[in-house]
Amino acid sequence: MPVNFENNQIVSPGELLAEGDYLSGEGSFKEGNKVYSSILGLAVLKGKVVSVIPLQGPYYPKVGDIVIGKVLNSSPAGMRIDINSLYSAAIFPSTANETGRRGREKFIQFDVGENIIAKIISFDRTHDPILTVDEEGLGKLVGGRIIKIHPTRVPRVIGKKGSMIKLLKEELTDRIKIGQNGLIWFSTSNDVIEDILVAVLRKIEREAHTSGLTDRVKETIKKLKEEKLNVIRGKNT
Amino acid sequence: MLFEEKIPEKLIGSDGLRLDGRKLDELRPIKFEVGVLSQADGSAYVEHGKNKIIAAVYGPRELHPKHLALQDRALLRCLYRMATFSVSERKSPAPSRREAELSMIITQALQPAIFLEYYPRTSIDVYIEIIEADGGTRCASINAASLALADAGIPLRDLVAACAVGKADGQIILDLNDLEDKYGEADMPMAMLYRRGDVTLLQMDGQFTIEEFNKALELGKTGISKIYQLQRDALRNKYLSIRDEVADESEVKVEITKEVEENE
Repeated sequence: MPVNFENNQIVSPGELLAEGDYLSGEGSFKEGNKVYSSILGLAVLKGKVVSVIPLQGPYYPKVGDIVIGKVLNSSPAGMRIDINSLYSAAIFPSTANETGRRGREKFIQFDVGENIIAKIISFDRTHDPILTVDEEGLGKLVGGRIIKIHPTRVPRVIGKKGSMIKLLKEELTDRIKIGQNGLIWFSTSNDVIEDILVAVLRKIEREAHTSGLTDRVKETIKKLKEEKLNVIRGKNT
Repeated sequence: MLFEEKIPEKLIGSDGLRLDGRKLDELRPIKFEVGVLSQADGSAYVEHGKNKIIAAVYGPRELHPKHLALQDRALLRCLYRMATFSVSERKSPAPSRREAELSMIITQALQPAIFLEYYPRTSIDVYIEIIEADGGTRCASINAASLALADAGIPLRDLVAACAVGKADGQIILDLNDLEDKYGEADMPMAMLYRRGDVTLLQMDGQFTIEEFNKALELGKTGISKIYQLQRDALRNKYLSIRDEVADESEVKVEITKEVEENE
């Protein structure tokens, strides 16, 4: 039997997706030989695997992900980090430097309230995620601004082969870092660019489930830039 | 009392219609809206006849105090609350016995639908606020909460749909309003995972014969099937409306899925 949906069709929980010789992937489950959707999202068939791409939902930690978080608690024994997820993460002196290159005594302790970018090195159902900052580009985030978007829509901010993030870097600022947990840090040279970037990120978030997004974002940036320039010109004359 | 409630002589008129002009097996007008609150992870607004209800879902999130956490699954907590102005005589804002009971039965009605085992040691919190009540709020609350859960992206086996059936003037009727509930002969709210046919809530006030009970159960199922369909449409509309809006702007087509795959 063929599948019960077109690719990218919006499906809701409990909807029958396929019957027969199919496997259930992310966002779907099997009952007998029938595959049902378990979440609200976009249904996709890849080979024999039926899955549903979520549109909303929590960030579920994954080993290897780069995340942005805020220090909740700090002591020489370790730090607790809020990573905008269902579990809070921890950094321990023993794992802060994954490679052991710098040794335990060089453990860098961040202050409470500081924002950091880190990598998840360990996580499963039974314990909270453990982070490390021992890698190029990881560590404390100084200055700039952080905004929060739906974690499920982060892939669209990155875009196909990084096309969207490349566009943002070229057009707006190259100081932008994306956490897989939905937090985006950026620092811009002036307020005008910052306003445009925030507006663009909100647009990407809102229209994450539509096609042709990169082209539309390109146009939006152009339009917003002109608008802002006109305002500035108007003020000067 | 601010105004006297008139006790009706008959709940079903000689023309076979009920007090509000409905047929015996007709639902009240229902409106579902999803994603109404910006700060909640998922939310829904329901108008079911004169009932007005907002449900908000937070989570799955870290559970505090930690000792309540379950090691193998998430903890589902529901809070049903009636606003002081939701009924004709002011309701005391203190939590009542009735509210505690409804919170519990709503939790029990929703629990079988959720894949709680996906998120151990966390909590899923559902807050249900009754803005206006006119009979059948527990069913409307379950409908709202189920939508809010789906909106929050929480994995569900199926949507939970609920509806009441009852008896008035010796006839089996669907979806009772306040007067029918108060002065009718029986009231039976029920909730189902409709696709699976699992009944997750079944309560009864008053009296039914066995034949009447079976008939009521069947009538309830037809009502629930209609509500279930409305819930699906409401969920889909939230995203379809944005997609349509965008489609008007440009005709360019890019495969979304490919992008996601390549990012992984």
